[in-house]
Formats: sequence, C-alpha cells, structure tokens
Amino acid sequence: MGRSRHQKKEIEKVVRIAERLGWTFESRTNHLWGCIYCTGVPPDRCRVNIFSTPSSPENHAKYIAREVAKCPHTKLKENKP
Amino acid sequence: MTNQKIYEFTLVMSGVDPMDENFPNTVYELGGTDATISSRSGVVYVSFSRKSASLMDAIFSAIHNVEMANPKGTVVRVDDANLLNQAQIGELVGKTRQMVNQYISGKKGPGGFPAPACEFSNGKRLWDWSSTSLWFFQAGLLNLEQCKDAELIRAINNQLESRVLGAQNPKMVGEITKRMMSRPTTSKFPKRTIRQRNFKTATRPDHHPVG
Repeated sequence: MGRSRHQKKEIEKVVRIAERLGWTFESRTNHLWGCIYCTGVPPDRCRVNIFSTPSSPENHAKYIAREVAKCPHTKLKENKP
Repeated sequence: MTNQKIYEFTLVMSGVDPMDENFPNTVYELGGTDATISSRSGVVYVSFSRKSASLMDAIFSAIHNVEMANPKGTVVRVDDANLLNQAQIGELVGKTRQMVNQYISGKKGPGGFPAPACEFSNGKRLWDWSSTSLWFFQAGLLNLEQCKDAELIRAINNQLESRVLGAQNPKMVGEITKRMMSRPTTSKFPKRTIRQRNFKTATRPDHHPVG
C-alpha cells in the first residue's frame, strides 16, 4: 500500500529520492503533509517535516534535500577528499 | 514601497522536542509558511526563505515566529557558516580550496589572512566566516553586502549566546557586565590625582614607608 503523492512535484521528487536512500515516510495531519525519517536509531535519527502547502514549494524541496544530504546516517557518494 | 528580497538562513533551537507535532503546525499558523523544520541528532533546525526589507528584519521575525510557537523553545544561534574549513570558504567566495590555501599562506592576495578560530589536534583548522569575509571584501573578492551580512549574523549570534548564558547563570553574567562597564576607557589620569601624590604637601605624618 503506497503513500499519497505530494501535490507539489518538486517536493514529491525529493521525497522519492529520500525513500530510495532508505528514508521512511509517515503521514501527518493539519498543515503537515507528513514527515520523513532517516535510517538512524531513535533518538538520534533525523526527521524532516513536510508541509502540505508551503509558501515556496521549490525552497521547501531544496531544504528537504539539503537535510537529507546532511544526515550522518544516510550513505551518499563521497564528494570531498 | 520598500524593496524586499528573499533571505535564506537557519535557526538552531533548544528546548523543542523533535517529535513535537504541535510545533511545526503552530509555526506555520503564526506565519512560518516559508519554514522547513527538521531535526538531526536531537537538535531542531528551522530553515527559512523569508521575504523581507532587510536580513535583520527577516531573522528577527523568524526568531519571533518560532519562539511564539513554543514558549519553552529558544533560538540559540543562526546557523550560517559560523566555522568553515578551506573548501567551504572557497564555495562561499567562488574559489577553489587550493586558491584559498594560497590566500591563507600569503602566496596569493594581499596577505594577512585571519588566523583560524580553532585548530584540532589532527591539524584541521576552521575559520570564523565573519572575520574571513571581511578579509575577502578588503581584498576585493567579496561584495560589501555579503561581508555585512556575515558581520550582522555574528553580532546576532553574540547576543543570542549572551541571552542563553544570562538565563543559565544570571549572577555571573551580571558581574561580567558590571566589570565591563567599569573598565577604564582611557589611560590618562586627571591632574588632580598627580598633585595628591605629592607627599611634601600631604598632611599625614612623615613616617610612611619609602618605596
């Protein structure tokens, strides 16, 4: 059973990338569409809250992607020596 | 109508539970529709893309926004390039890490690069962006606005840190503030004091120790 798609394509794209990296999505209510959790163990695991209708979907997606990239538990490609 | 532009920055908070569902919803309702709230290793970060007339207005409206959303929460700093390594400095000024290294060593540029803010036992060094940005501005490699923004954020962070320390140990902070205000601002002594040191005119008995 899949999750609902975010209505903003930029945010949906970033959430899919996060899921491919092992992050899990949990649905929420009210202004929060949901939140994503990294592969870490609570209480150290990372969490990013995602609004249903942010004022700037592009910037919201950018910040979500940046938090996923900063996560110490997520394995990304090495980009620095 | 004042010119407004988008300012991007991140606030670091303490006293907010990363699992608190009410916090993001309340931030949104209080005007934080431009916020992205996340947590990493138990610390809550709130990133903003805020439209405002100035960076100072943007930051303080954001601080007000998040602290109203959770009265127990406190903004402890603006997480904006505080301490950087050479590669990160390079990214901010559009130069390679190797070029930044040459500025640091004095092989390129006007010399006098600021000393690192800290140095680890493994030799890694980090620089404070505020003083580093000033050097790049004076060397003609950074524009004035970027330099002023770094200086503003440093000043705001100093005040935020003082606020945290003042709440944790008000007695100590009060004593330090008192001593700072009573510190002499000039090395010159008034002439009246010199005359008083003339022992020949003093009325005390003449058996004081001769030093």
